[in-house]
Amino acid sequence: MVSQPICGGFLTGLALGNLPDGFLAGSLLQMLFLGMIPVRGAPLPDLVLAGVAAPTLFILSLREGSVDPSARGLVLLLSLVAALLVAAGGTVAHRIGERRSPFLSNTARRAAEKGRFGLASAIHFSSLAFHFAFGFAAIAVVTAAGVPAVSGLAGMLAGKWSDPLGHLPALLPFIGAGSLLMLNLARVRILMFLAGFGIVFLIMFLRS
Amino acid sequence: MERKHVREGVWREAGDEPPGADHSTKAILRRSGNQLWRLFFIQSSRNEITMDGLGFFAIIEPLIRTWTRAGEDAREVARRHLGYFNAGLYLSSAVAGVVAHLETKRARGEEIAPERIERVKSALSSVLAARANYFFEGLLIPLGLTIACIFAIYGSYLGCAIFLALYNFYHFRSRIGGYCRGLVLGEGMGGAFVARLFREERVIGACAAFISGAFAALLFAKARSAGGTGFLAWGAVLVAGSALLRRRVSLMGSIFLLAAATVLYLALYPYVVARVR
Repeated sequence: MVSQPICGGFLTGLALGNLPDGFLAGSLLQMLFLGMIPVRGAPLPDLVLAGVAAPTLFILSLREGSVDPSARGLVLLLSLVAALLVAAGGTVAHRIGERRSPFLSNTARRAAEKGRFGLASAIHFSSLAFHFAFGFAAIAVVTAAGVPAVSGLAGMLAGKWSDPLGHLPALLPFIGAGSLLMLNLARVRILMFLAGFGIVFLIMFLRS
Repeated sequence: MERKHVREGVWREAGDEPPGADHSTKAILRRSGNQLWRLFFIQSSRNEITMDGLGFFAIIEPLIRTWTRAGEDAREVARRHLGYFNAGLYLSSAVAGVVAHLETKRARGEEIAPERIERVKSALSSVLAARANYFFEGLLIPLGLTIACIFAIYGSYLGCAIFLALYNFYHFRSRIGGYCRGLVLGEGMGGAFVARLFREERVIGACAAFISGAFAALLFAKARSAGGTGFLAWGAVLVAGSALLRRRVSLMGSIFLLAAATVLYLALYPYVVARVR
């Protein structure tokens, strides 16, 4: 379950030596997709790749000398957009993979019919190596192409208009809150949702 | 015979332990080590035609030669378990346990037709997959992730640990516990298992809804301290927009639309405020 963007962001931040920024990008991506559940088997965007791509692009683009520190919000936005595109691309790649992979099943069946059960199992487990290889290759390509693109775009577009984008982490999570509201629209659960909202809102109001 | 509670699996079930070998979790873990690690990789070779059929075969592969009756070809047993299988991620282990239970009994000489094993396998798969997917993907994961995000709002990493602990508590026990229950109780485990799942659903669903409400309230409090009334109002617009667009536009489409509107709002807001003043 480290495949969720919030955990992916944490681990990527840890690996790249910038835990707060990695966690920020990962958790923000997670909040966009809160309350999204696969319906009738429809595939969700590939959040595993996106959860690593967003923090990687954010951290490495900020390290590029050409990016102004005040354009941090813009870099975060561009990293998230790139990660969303990666997520969409990953889903397409997985669907193609699932369509093409019955040949594995057929090969394994032929091996089993010859009594080579161990080989049939090995064919199954070997596809795991393919998944990992695909993931690492995709992240390598995204990093190599994405970091110069994000930092270049941020350098070009940054200006006074982009300064308020630093407030994105305060606003974007509302998109996920809307999805959570829809997820809890059933009779009893909406009451619990409103109770949670009311109690916490009251506490925050009284505290301020 | 006095009924007693069996403390294994995700949920305590009321049932009779069958006589025979030691059915404690420890004993099963010792006996089935070679199957248990395989349970976690069932989806590695998922495809559109047999779904997790090959993954299911990989779980039971070490047992196949022990399931043959005298004069029976192991390849025939293998062929029966290489077809379509789709029980989702979480409770496919339980189905594997039930199949292992039935095949072991059949190999011992009991009158169990291969068709009956196939029927039990497909019936349990569809029931358990539907309930487990709803429980995990509709309730437990959103609950855990919302808790993680609440902590993340305040820059704390603790939420990640809570999410992983909550998720894996059920995940490990449904995978390993589910296999153990299936192995011990056979096809009798399905009803009690699903009934217990329903009871857990209500509590976790209510908690998830409450925590989601709390998360939304905290977002409003945070937005108010970051940008005042303007951010509060825009937050409400985003919540309403996300809820309304969810039914009309694709997931990615709605996220792109609302994110673009937010960027526009943040870029224009200072100019509008300055002009009004």
